[in-house]
Amino acid sequence: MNRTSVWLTLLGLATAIPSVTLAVDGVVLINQANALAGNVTPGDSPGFPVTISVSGRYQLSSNLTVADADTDAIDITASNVTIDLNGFSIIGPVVCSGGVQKNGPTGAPPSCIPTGGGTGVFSPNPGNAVLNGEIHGMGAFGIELGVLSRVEKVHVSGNRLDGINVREGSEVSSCVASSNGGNGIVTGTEGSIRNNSANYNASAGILAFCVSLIEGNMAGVNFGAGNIVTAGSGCVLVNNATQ
Amino acid sequence: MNRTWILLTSIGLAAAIPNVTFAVDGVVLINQANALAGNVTPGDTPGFPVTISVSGSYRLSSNLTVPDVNTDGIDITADNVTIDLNGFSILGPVVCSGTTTVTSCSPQGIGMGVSSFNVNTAVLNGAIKGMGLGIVLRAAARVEKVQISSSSGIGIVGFDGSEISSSVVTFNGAEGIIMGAGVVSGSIASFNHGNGIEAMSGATLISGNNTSVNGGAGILVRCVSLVTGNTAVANAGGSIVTQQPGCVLANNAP
Repeated sequence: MNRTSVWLTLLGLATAIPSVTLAVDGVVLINQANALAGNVTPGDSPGFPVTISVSGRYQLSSNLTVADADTDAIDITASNVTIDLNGFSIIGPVVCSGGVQKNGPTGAPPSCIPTGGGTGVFSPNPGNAVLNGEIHGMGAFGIELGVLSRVEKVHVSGNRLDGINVREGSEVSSCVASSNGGNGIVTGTEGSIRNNSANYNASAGILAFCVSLIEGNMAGVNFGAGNIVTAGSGCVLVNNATQ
Repeated sequence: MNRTWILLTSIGLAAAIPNVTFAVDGVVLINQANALAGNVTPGDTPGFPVTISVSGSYRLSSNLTVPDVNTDGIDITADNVTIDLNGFSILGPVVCSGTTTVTSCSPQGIGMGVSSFNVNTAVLNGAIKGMGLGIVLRAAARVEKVQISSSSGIGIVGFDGSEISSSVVTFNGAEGIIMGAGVVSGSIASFNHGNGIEAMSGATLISGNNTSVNGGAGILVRCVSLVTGNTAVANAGGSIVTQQPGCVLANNAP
């Protein structure tokens, strides 16, 4: 192999190496810079969405700001992926009127613009988790995950549609869903919805398909279908409060 | 263009460039030196308060010492701002006294450790001590793992849609925490002159907190709210006090 071909080979290898920064514990870090650079995992093109195609743990190391309402922030195409927002936020361009504004409740349901299809974290796959941070202002959902998912300690507010929407067998706990343009929290059957706050959403605070466990939630001042709404029969409701 | 003109142009440009230091991950660092220099974000004048006028992530890289009780530490004037105190403190001049519960604080003032007039503010991972008020945030805010002590007034004020979690609010000259229709969870509110946790908007979730030895109630809450898994001990104004009917109280002690 001559020197020119060696250089070309190295160049080719360099472009194929994912733009990955590892935390000291081996967790893959995601921030605005490497989101824009792309290649966070194989197949991730530059800019948004960040595509996660490999199972494992990922952690934000800065806020992620998505410029348009039609673009997802993070798409998960694998299973068994954990996204630790690490206290940071995913921020979209949508602005809602109504709901709660900076000076307090407006008395009107949230209405959000611009319309779009962008979701903060999206996955149709099973077994993924989103933890510990905030998602605001997305064009569609704050979080939309497949079956057997987990959402924990996440604030979702001011998203155009539902704050959190997860499929069957999923768990949503210790989250705050406020002033979203759809429902606050939606879960499929065999779900667990515990210790959440869902206030000032345009539709239901919590919408759960039965059978599910709904325990220790506060849902108040939601404008549409009710505060805690169950679909089907057999849901177990324990120590919830609605206003 | 002559050399004088070039020099003047350069000076002008330098004055317009924000005095910003970035961490390796793109987060903006704030420390005492650049707080005093000003221009951390556009419109930030030298000295305190540090004004954050641009959405983004900010992180302390030293303690911030605020010179007087009527001056804020950090003022946030943009939506979507995260302040990671990064284990550091914002320190004011107030000292509170009392053998158990606070009986007095001096000097008295209105300077806030962190103040926001906008939505979606987060304050994380550090301490605020000796300010007029500790943290005052608007709607959809989040305070997590912050210790607030020796404020001459209230420790933390959160509006609707906000959450205070895993924080310690102790030995302040008024209420420990005042919250709207939001969440207070996993926190300690003790030895405050007034109520430990006060939530008078209704639709508040108060879960897993420990309130003790406050001069008012441990928890004072307007119904309908959910109060679950809390401990309230030796508070002068009662343990868990509800106003209006309809609150759900479960698994609290005693």
